[in-house]
Amino acid sequence: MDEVIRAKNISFKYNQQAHVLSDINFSIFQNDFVGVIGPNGGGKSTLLKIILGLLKPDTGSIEVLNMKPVKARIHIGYVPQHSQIDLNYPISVLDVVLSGFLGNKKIGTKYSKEEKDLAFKIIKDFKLEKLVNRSIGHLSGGQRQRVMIARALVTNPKILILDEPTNNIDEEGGRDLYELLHDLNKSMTIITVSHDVDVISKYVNKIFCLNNRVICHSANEITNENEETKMKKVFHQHGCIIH
Amino acid sequence: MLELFQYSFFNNALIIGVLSAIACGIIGSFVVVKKISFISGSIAHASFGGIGLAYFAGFNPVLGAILFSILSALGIGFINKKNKKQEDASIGAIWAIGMAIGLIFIYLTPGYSSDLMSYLFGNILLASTWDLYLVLALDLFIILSVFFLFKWLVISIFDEEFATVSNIPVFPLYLFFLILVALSVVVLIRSVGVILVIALLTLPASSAQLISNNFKGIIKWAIIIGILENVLGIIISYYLNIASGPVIILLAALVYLSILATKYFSNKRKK
Repeated sequence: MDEVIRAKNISFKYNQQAHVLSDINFSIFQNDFVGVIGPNGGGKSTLLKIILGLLKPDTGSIEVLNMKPVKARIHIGYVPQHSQIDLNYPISVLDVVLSGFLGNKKIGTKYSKEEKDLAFKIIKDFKLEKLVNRSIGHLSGGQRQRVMIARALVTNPKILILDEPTNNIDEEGGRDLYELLHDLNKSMTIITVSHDVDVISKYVNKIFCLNNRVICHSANEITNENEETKMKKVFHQHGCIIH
Repeated sequence: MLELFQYSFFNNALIIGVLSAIACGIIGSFVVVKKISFISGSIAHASFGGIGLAYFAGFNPVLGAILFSILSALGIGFINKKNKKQEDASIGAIWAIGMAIGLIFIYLTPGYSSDLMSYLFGNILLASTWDLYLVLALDLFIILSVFFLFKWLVISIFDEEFATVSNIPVFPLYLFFLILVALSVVVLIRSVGVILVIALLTLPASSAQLISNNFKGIIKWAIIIGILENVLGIIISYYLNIASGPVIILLAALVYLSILATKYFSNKRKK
């Protein structure tokens, strides 16, 4: 299998504070479904930002699709954390989904017919067609998250990255979302940050436990064991506590 | 009342009122949605530095205002980029520094600057034909810029991180947007003056935001409301023989509060 992301000895700290990430090494392969878990402040979002090229590591190197992260962005679909979104913002579902195209468009141009058709197709696939003109604030958490994923998918990315996608969604909505990601995983690599180890361990094939360092597990290793040893293995053994 | 329209100064005033309502309807909607009304206030006050400089050096005060408002807009943009923590303090500092520079230049200029009050508080009835052309040019520039950049501006405000990851030039867009704010401040200085600009940028758009929850709808309503307020304000200020700025602002505030109250009571009845 092809290696899509390779991180070597990555360290990162904000300003003069202690290291958020220190000496991180990992590889992610094509069609992997990676769940990143760990305590608050353990560096989960920071790691995503480094993969996305939003932050540069202080030391070490990272390659995404054999390129620098910034160059690889056109192949990445990104679903930011829910808290980034202003629910009063006057924007419709359709405009949010279409905005996925904007980065690749010449500034000042209109959306082409192909782009609109493709956006409508994804909206339909995601069962959002009745909501196209609804404001983003007038959706349920699960619907809104599907809109954000639809937006990330219009450019047909090779890698999909999600930051805590099930925050603000009830349990059932969360499961639906992971089912959706499970289907998408057939055609792309997925990396998702999450709090709920239990739920994601059913869907992912790799778990990164991140507490300033990264420890990689295959998901089988976790799901085949009973609850207690599972938790023990993932967290306590490595001094990693979940909040 | 019809005899009023025989006077070219009155017609100029009305046309400038309409044009400035269009500029501030468009830019004001972005300012309100992005919640940067104090950035626009800071840019407006800083432009007074340029007006003072122009008085001192003897060139057109509006050109001085353009220079200082754009410089302060870029200053705030870069400080924000470099160090987000300094943003609030820098907005306040630039606000006051611009005013201070303006006052010092005016102090150094011999003689009393009689129409200075009109730059501070606005008096659209003093506007010349030259002012009219300038406002028209700035208006066209603002309309065309937003027409072409609309989708990009909307998305980079909505979700900056996503926009950055999809390679949208978020920071250059933001700087350009701040320049548009600076230019609309200059457009508004004639009608409401440096000190009251912040209200005219935010009040019509805030009223519009209560009526529509669609970005283009907000802009449309902000323009309509702004035009009504400006035109009515100009007529009232002529008859009462007071400066147009405060009249327009009080009208705008009245409209905003009325819509807010109507909405509040109709929501209450529904419950």
